[in-house]
Amino acid sequence: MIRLDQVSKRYAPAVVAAVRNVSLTVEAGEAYGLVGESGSGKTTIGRMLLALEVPSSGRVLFRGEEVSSLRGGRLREYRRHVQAVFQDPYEALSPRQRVEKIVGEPLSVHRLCGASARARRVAELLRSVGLPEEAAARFPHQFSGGQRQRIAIARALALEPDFLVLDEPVSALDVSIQSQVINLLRDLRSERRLGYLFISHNLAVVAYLCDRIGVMYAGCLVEEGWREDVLCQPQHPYTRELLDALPGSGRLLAVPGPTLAPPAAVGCPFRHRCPYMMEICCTMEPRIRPSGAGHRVACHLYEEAS
Amino acid sequence: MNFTPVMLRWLGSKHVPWAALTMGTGVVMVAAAPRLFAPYDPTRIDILHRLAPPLGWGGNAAHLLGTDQLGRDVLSRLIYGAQVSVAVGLAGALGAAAIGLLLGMSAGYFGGSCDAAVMRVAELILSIPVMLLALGVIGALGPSLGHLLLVLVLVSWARYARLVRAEVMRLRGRAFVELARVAGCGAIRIITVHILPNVLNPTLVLLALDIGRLIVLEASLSFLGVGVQPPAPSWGLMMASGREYLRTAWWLATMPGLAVLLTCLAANRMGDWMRDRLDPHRRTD
Repeated sequence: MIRLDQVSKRYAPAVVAAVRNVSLTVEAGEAYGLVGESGSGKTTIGRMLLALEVPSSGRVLFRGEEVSSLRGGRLREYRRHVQAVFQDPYEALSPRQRVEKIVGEPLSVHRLCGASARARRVAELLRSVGLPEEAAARFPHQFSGGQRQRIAIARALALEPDFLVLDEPVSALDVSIQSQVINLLRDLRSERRLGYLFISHNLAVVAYLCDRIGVMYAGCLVEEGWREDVLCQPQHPYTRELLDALPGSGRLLAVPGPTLAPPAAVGCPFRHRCPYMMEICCTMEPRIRPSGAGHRVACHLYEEAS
Repeated sequence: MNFTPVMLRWLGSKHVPWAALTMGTGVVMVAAAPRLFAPYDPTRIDILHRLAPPLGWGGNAAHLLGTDQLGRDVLSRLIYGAQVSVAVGLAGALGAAAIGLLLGMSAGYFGGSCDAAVMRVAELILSIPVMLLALGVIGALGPSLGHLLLVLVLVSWARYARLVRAEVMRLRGRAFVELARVAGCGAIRIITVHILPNVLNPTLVLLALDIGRLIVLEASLSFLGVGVQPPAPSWGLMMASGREYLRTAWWLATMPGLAVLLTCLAANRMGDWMRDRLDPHRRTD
């Protein structure tokens, strides 16, 4: 349903690209988790998918149509299929609108129903995210962070989209609230056959919610595969480092070398942090290539084998 | 008794500023219908009672605020003068705010050459001293109330445009505005529904401060002889002619000065109060 084809994004010619030659596919109804540290380009991918940014090169396709070429009515039609929930629930809701306006706005913008039908629909949406109907008459500042995120989710669901871009939807919430929202997202997905692009730096959350996982480092997709494969048989050294850093993994950071080293400009971007660095890593950037069923990795370690 | 904290508390309190509201509505009402409030014709000359002091300083109740060098009643002239001050303060500030909002929002939202054009003109206007610009325009067009208003709008809109542009640029990158785009809102809806309500408050505060500033500016221009023309009463003109009598008849310049001061204070205070009232974090209804 969604396909990124050699997508790159740079914000200024002199600056390092935020996203470099990323290709990936998300099928209808699939939950795809994108993990990586801040600055790895995962948010930029979400923003390009939402037509908030235009790729510098490559194509972002939705059902075969290039998203950045959509204009006017076609773009509005696209918006009905792809919606978003962002990280900060304190920023995501217009502070001067009541909840009924916030949740009902997509419906009125797309002229989908009259005022009374809209009120019913808003009540229904609020109930589906676990909020009382009375919430409709209140302002965002009268809710807690978790409740606000539920309102943001209700708004994103108003147009009955097929696909949600979830950009760190729980990272700004209290830990006790995080699991509630994660469970809500899991339930909504099974009820509505939603596809997710779940962007997070938290591998544990992604592992719980997603079918497939892509790992990003310095703007590149370095590994991708089914959840079980990535979690149980990680191939890229960076993925292993991420898994080792998970609490309860039994191992403290096993990877030697500076963890805060900047991405390398030439060759493999991860080589300064990589315990398996070879000669070739300094001169040639590895391309992402298949290494097993549904599994892809960008690392010279696996090129010799194949 | 420690008086200062009480004063400060009153000036900063979030409660209804009754004094400022009374003063403000009083000035507006008096300006709307000076005939009903003025005890005398403001241009009636009564040489026999010239330079009568105000009540309490040796004057009597016939002329509460005394009379001027031609025996005209100061209170009546103040009341008629309010008309000019209110018209100029309100209309000038509203006109400037409207133009500034329109240009500032376009510049901030659309950016690019639109932004560059608006901001260069705004900087040009802000870089010319207000008085010089006003004197130049009035000198070219001739003194009249309409031209005075034009000048005040011309010298004031740029500050609104700059304020609004900065606010809009800040808001444009915020998540709820981006999510409005994702929801399918067009540029006009985003500007009017999501951005405008959030820039109204700072604009309103600037507007309230501006009303006072414009009243003072009108008084200064009239004082210099390029604003309202005699014999029409204006607070600035009254101060100008009262200046010569400062030693012998202090009330001629002081009374219009006080009127400017109090009106300006009341406008500022009401602006602050409105800002607090309009803050959504204080609204629970």
